[in-house]
Amino acid sequence: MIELENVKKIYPNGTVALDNVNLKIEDGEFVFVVGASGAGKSTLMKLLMREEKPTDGRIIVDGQDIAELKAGQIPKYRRGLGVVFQDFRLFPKMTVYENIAFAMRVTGWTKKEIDARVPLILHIVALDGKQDRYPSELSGGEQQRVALGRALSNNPSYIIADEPTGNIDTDLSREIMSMLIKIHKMGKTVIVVTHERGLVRYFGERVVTINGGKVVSDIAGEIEQ
Amino acid sequence: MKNIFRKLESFGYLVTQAFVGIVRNGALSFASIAVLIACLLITGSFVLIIGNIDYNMQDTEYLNRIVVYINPDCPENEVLDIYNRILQLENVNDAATKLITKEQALLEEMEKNPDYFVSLEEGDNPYRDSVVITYVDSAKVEELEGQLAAFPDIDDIMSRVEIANTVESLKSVLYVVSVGFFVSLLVVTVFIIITTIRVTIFSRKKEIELMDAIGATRTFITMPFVIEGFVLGMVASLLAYFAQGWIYGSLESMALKNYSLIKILPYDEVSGTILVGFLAVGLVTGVFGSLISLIKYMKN
Repeated sequence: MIELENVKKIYPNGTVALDNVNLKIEDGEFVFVVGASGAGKSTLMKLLMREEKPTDGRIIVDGQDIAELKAGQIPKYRRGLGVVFQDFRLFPKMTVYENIAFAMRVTGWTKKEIDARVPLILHIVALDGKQDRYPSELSGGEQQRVALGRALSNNPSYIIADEPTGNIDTDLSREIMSMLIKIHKMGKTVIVVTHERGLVRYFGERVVTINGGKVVSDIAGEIEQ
Repeated sequence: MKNIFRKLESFGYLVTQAFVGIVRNGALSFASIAVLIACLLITGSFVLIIGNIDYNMQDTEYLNRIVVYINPDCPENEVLDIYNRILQLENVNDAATKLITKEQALLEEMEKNPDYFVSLEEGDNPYRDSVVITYVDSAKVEELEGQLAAFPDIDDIMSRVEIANTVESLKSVLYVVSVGFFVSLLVVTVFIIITTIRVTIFSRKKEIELMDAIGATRTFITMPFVIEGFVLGMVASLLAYFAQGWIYGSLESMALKNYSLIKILPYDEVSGTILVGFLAVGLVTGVFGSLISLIKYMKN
């Protein structure tokens, strides 16, 4: 479970990015976090990834206040998160297989374990048979599926997707979202940060709307007009 | 057991990544190694020069002697008289003080270096009669020199003490110069290694950011760069060691062939020390340079 209690984030230049945010995300939930540009979505992502600490309030993940994590504990925390970035962040000189394996390699999996798991991941994200392709040989949707596969590779409890359809056309966006729903059904808690209201409306999951750093609504299946 | 294997495999991966970094920044890696080799060779050479000076000065008898040269026009009987009077002086060790006539000096040198005297004509003798005086008390050398200076037919007084002091001064100068060169080149080397590692970090910035985001430890992220610096330092040290040995060996052969008056310190006696010294400098320079580059990244 993720719990934000009275979270406030003020940047050094005085910008109030988040103001008194209270939010609870249960295990196994699928949540869209929506809002216009500058609403505070990215800051929320950074706080959850522990790239930033809240100025005030607490963020509790699985019973632990992550603001109190020491520097040496942060990597272990992050392994429990699978992050999908808007710009995919794939390595152009690595194959699909190597891109997915990379996340496992840098977190200490052995080659044997990697070789056993990567084919499974490829199957989940429907990239069977494409393990030897390079990102430049894939479509935008396929590249994002590689990124999804990489996010899944460490078997995290949470998947956090930051504008996962930002660099893909509309048709493929639904494909990516369907993939995320599929991952959610595997038992993962999925948080999708997006500004695409049409997409959110289409899938009808829980929607948390952020505006001006505050949570203005938190509804299942609807967004604020 | 499984854990050890896992760690070994991870370490192997990190070492591979270090070599990827070295190859990727080939030019800068080459520059780092080249400058460090230059630094080590210059310092090693100075150390060997000083070592050879010490080696040649090891014969202590050589140091507590004064050689006086007698006027070449002095007849033989007066030369003998001068020698006997010197033996009477207080600070002179009678048993060890020797008269070397000019004929004896010529014969000795002709035996050592016959080629030098090929053009010498019959009856010519460039040498003078000399008395090699071994003194008893080095604290009273000046007094003895004063007494010898009072002899009318003594042309020159060569005191080994002066030579020894001159050599010590020379050694001090060489030492200061070598330290100066060493420190200057070391600073340059460390700077180049810092730059090399910084360029590597910059070129792998995206990779590092992703590793950070997905939960790689700081040690895992930074270790390839430390290993890269270490490898650069060690490669330079080993290359410098072999180069030093080759250069010294070549100079040793040349010196023995042309300058038999000089004793050459056998390289085998110092090669171990040179190797350890070079490796220590290589290690410290390489790792230190890497860590300085990484400090900024770790702060962020």
